Amino acid sequence: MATGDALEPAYVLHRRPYRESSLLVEFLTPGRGRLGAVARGARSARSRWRGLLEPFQGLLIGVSGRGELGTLSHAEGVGHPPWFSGPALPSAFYASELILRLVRREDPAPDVFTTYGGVLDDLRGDQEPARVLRRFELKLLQSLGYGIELDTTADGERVDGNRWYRYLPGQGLVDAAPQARGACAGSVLVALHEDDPDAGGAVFMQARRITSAALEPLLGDRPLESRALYRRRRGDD
Amino acid sequence: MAYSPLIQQLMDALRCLPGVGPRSSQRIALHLLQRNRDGGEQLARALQAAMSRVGQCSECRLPTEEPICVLCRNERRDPALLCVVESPADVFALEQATDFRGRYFVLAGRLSPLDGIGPSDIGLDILEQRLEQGAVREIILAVSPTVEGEATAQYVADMAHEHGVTCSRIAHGVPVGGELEFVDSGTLSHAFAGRRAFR
Repeated sequence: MATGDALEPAYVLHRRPYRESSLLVEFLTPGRGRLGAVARGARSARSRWRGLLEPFQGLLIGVSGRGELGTLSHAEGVGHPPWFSGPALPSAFYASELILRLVRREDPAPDVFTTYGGVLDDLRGDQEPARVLRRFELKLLQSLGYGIELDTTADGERVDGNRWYRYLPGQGLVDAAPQARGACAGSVLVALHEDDPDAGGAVFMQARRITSAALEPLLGDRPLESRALYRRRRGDD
Repeated sequence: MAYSPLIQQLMDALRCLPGVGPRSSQRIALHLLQRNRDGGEQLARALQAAMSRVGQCSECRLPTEEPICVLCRNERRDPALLCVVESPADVFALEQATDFRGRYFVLAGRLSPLDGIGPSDIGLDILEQRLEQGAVREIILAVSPTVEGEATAQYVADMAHEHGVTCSRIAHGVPVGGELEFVDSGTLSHAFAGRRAFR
């Protein structure tokens, strides 16, 4: 750690092997957004960071060197080590992938940091992953400046629980036929807007049509790896 | 000064070895050329033979030049017990450390969703075919205690469940001879959560 540099809170988003025994770690920090750093020797048997630089782990880190890729000089774990079971794990991968794809490096992202911490906590609880993920997607879109108005259509009318809508990026909700591609029931939008505690998983799965329409232009053509992988076995949540 | 083309070629080729950089490759090349020609020729022949003939065991996917490896040919090993590991090195480690009498299945690594490494990339589709054949009764998961290992374990466990196969996973715990104070918190929390009845 460079002298005078305070430790910074961070989550491990992803890490891959680098050179012989190091790791290239992608962090999410409030102050610097996405941050890449080399953890020297982190894969060797005697590394002090062994088992610590795992995805989803909350840390306090010190990174020396400015620019695109720093060097990790300090890392200590905060809170419980992350461990997801059942369908929460693919959901947590999905959340990380969205952040990796949508948050820029070296661009402060305090809201995104809080939102990501929230989704990890919620996924560890007993809430349905689909509900947690929709809330996460909506908050993330909001923080990135692409928030969705869930209670008002593009024409400024109130969303009606008996009608059907779809989402046009850049415009908002527009009327749609129930069988149209990406169409979502108004009642689902109302439940999503109110985060209705009684709404079941089916509501949040249908609501995905809205959030994925909003995310599509931001993600571009490259499909999300985490979703493609788990679709077969876990169903589309 | 520059080395002659053949020596340069040898040094470049040696750098495909793990941990061998420019200096080591030069040292190895010169050592073989100056001091140990016989050893060098033997190395060349062994490499040639291994590279052209070693394939995979059709049962467990362990590297071997035989169609079926020695572990899978052993009649005394129970084919209904299948231990799933991430790499061939894990098989040898388990063989040394345990008295496991079942068979193995070697994956080509582990699922890594964010790197686009999916089930068929590591051979899980072949494992699924094996389960469909119905000879396997129990799966023992011996994958690493990392997040990717966990993803792999869950995938295999789901698959086992679909086929009515029992599935267990090796414990994560405090190393033998380790003192709790110096064990990292992740390992300790796993060891604590996975405690066993003790009398």
